[in-house]
Amino acid sequence: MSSNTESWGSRLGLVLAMAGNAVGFGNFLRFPVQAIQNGGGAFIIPYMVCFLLLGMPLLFVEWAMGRYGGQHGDHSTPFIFDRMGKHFIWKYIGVSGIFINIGVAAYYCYLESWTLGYLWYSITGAFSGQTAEGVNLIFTNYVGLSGNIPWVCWILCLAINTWILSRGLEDGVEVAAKIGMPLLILFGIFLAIRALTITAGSDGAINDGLVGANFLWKPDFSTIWTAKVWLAAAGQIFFTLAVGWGMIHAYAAYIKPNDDVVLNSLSAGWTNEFVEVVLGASIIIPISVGYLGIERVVELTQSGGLGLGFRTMPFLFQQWGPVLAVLAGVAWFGLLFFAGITSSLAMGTPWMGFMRDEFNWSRNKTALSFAAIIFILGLPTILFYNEGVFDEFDYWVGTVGLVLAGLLEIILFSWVFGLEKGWAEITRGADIKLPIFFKYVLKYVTPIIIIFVFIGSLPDIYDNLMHKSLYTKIAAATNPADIAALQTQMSYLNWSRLLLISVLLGICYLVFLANKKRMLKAK
Amino acid sequence: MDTSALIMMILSKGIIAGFTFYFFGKMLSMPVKKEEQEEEHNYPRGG
Repeated sequence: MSSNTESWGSRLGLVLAMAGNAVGFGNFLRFPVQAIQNGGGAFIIPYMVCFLLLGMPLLFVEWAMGRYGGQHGDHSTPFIFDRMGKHFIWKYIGVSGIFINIGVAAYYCYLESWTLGYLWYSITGAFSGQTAEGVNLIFTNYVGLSGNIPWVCWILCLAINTWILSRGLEDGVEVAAKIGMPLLILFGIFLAIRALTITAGSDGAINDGLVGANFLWKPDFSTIWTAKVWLAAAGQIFFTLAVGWGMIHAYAAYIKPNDDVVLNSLSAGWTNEFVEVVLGASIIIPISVGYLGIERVVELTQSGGLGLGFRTMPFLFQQWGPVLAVLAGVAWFGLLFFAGITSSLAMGTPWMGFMRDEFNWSRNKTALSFAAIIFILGLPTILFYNEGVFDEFDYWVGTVGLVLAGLLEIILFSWVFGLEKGWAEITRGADIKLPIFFKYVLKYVTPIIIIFVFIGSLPDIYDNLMHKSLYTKIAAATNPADIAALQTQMSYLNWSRLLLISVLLGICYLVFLANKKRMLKAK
Repeated sequence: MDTSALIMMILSKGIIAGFTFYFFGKMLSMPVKKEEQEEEHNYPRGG
């Protein structure tokens, strides 16, 4: 019998933890960049359609699957899938729900530790008096592991996550969500107001904050008919709602059999949308355009939102005077830290549930083992950040893995488990009536959209698999030293793939052992 | 701001904020489920 008898302390705590699981760096750094690269304000149309036809249905499915597993004592996807699919292969497909979380947590905790480091720099005034190049150099040195701060913050971050996970759901994860989410929203509101009230000519601003808002929201409706924009919207929905990861199943596995999943999942899902569209879209772009102008921001966002968030924002805050610069730095990196930790805690929960269910491990032992895995797996992403190992993990686990897992889980739920039983699972104990329209969406529309997204991503997947961009760079390089460096980079990427495959096989082996144990017990 | 940008911004943020407050408020205002009340009745705190 599993020693895992945890439960959520309150409904509010559960919803905040689920919302916190979804709210992450992407809400503030990825969404605004996606919007300006895919039609500005017009991007919200495919984005909301994908939320309605892809995001919300997957939320219902994952909450219902988690609750279904939990009532049978299964708190992670391998045996939740196994119970629903009744074929041995499903438990191995369910390995994705542990593997993706471990693979993402390996680099995500490092990213999360940047926010701690930058919080420290903001408080101690490290950015004070720095030029834009100076602030940029601080980031380059940080990821180049200059000094002790990057290591100290990473270890501290792992320790905080381990400690909270070891305290369990009610006293650990739920408390963190109840503190983190309101503070995150508060910090977000403060920064959004400040961003939108920037006035040209004041504190060195060259544009009003509203020029940035205009740049982000000005719709280019011609883009709506391009497949690329729909792929970007669907990808953003997958990423932002944390569907396909296995975290939602793991959290929902601890709710009671007749507790609502419809209203709870809508509350958590819409809270994530609020943070992303209402707050996330009101911070980095208005501030950056206010001080740097549109052309420079377009240039900076070519490499994504991370650079803007860490290389540029601390410098821009300095324009607001010493006191406000510290406050804004604390608010921005504090907001990112809370967004990060509420997500990384959710990434630890599937592993916690699996090891406690199947091997009767104690909470402390399981939390420590999670930290040890993240430490070992995270080291290559830190040591070889500049060689692209971090991005390699992100691409295969945090992008391709999600879509594939999402596709398989909707097939399992709607076609293998059966939609009649599935619909009954979703609506059991529901506090609001779910329109029957969603039943057909679950059966046909959501799987078709995910297949479309997956097929649309295949050329990119193939190019990445074959290191196309690296080969192009090697072909264009003339200096033998550059060619050697690119070849070394390729070998690092291959080794990181091998490492990820080893982790995947290792988890499959644990599932095999757990299944053997279950069969022996059943005899 | 351009009118089209302003409309898109206000509409998007307004609709999303509206749904968020509606669902969140409804979730908070729901009474505790009967089975939980029964559990508390059967096993009173401190009892």
